[in-house]
Amino acid sequence: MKGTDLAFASAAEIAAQVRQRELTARQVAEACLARIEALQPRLNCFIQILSDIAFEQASSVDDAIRSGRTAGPLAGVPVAIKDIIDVAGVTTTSASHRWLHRQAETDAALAERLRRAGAILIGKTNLHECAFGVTNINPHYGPVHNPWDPTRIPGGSSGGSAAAVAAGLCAGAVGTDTGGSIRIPASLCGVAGIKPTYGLVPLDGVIPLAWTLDHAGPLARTVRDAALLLDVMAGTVEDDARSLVRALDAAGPLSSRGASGARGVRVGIPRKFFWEHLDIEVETIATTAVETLRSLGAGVRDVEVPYASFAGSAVSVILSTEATAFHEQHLRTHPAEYGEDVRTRLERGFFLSGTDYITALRAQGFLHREFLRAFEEADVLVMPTTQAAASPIDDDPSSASTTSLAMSVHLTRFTNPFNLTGFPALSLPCGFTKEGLPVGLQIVGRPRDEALVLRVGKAYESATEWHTRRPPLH
Amino acid sequence: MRLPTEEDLAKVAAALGLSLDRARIRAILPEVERLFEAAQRLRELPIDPAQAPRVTEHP
Repeated sequence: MKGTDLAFASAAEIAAQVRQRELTARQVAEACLARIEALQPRLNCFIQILSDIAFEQASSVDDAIRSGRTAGPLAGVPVAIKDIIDVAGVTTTSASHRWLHRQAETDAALAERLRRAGAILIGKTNLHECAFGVTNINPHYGPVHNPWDPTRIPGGSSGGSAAAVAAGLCAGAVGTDTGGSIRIPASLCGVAGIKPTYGLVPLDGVIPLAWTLDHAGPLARTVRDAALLLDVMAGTVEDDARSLVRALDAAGPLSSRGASGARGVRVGIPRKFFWEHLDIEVETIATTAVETLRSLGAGVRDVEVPYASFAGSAVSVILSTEATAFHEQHLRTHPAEYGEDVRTRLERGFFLSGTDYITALRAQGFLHREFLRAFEEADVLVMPTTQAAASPIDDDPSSASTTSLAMSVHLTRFTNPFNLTGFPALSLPCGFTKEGLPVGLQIVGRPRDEALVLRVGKAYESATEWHTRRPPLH
Repeated sequence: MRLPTEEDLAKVAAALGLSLDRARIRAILPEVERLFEAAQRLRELPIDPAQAPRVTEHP
């Protein structure tokens, strides 16, 4: 494999070729870094490019293979890390003012796992400042541009990660998701991204936004690759009580499941709330995707998700309170070091009361149980990931903050309920608008049922070709 | 319940020792109103009064 073929090769293909010595990890790293160098000025996906770390890791993988040692399931696979996650020896910027940066002495647990699995950590990706927003318009590092149309946002907050995967700058990437920050950019950039069950992927070494809602997960060009990355990232660590005790791969690697497709799976369509106020093109494309699932043997039926419209309110209160608590000290002393939209989001949190916060946490428990009731009649829930495709970048100082605040409400409508409940949710490409912009389909499962979510996603992907389209980058 | 006013926010900001001038308060007021409405709306849910602020299977 060379050039564009290598840029868009799957993680599974790269790892197989590296393990079989048809390709060296160093060749993969060189090709990847060359493409990043060529496209970074146009897309601005990265805050830091980790050439030294990448070559060091590539040498380690190649040495292991030459000497007959186990190279790991991600041998030589280039993976980008959202710059809110620690990589040893590298500054974690959180795409914020330099006074908020921290020097990481050790890898975050998930980064360490990726490295141990043979992945090449190729760079730290750009994000919405402090992961608190969805446009990825950043006053400190500039906006990330959507590879399908560089005049448009990639979505956020993991916009650099999603855009890098879509543009063939890496085979996979890591994002975090507090209200939709993996799934929204996955949808707007035409890649797969999964927010796993709350606690499945450890968050130590990840700068928090809101502890109750924070998740980490992978983005990749295919569902199979997302499963491969999640297999490595998931599990437990002794010092993170939020991680699930049971390792997800107890029944075998996720990436090797999926043979039984969507046949017999009960697909629930929550028409009320989750299929309302849609852009007409998005509605048509998502409806066609549901019909594809039906043609694959899934049983499709409408379901009710009781009190769904309340989830966003609970997320707003919990997110604002916790984010303000995390940033309080710096916010009080250096408020001007935050971008206008993030500063507003943080300052508003001072005006919530303790009873507001506890009311929202009690609502979380109530809604968790109510949402589970929808799964009495369905095995997965399916809906569009966002109401509309990517919008134009608004970086006009007079309107950017207002646009950013409005976009957060708009784009997180269908995603943030599953941060509140902690249910696993996958976004994968299901079509393109007439303007050539990707549209995402969200598949949601019961807690810890990533296997079924991925199985349905993989079945849909196998029956369609949306994931094989490439953005017009020349 | 009425929405907070600029005056309300100014008083709370002073009590909390926040250095928010009138222009900042005016800038954040719509977002504070939105959060206030969200918090009030949650009180409409039929939650068992004895329910603790913790969820099953979501630590």
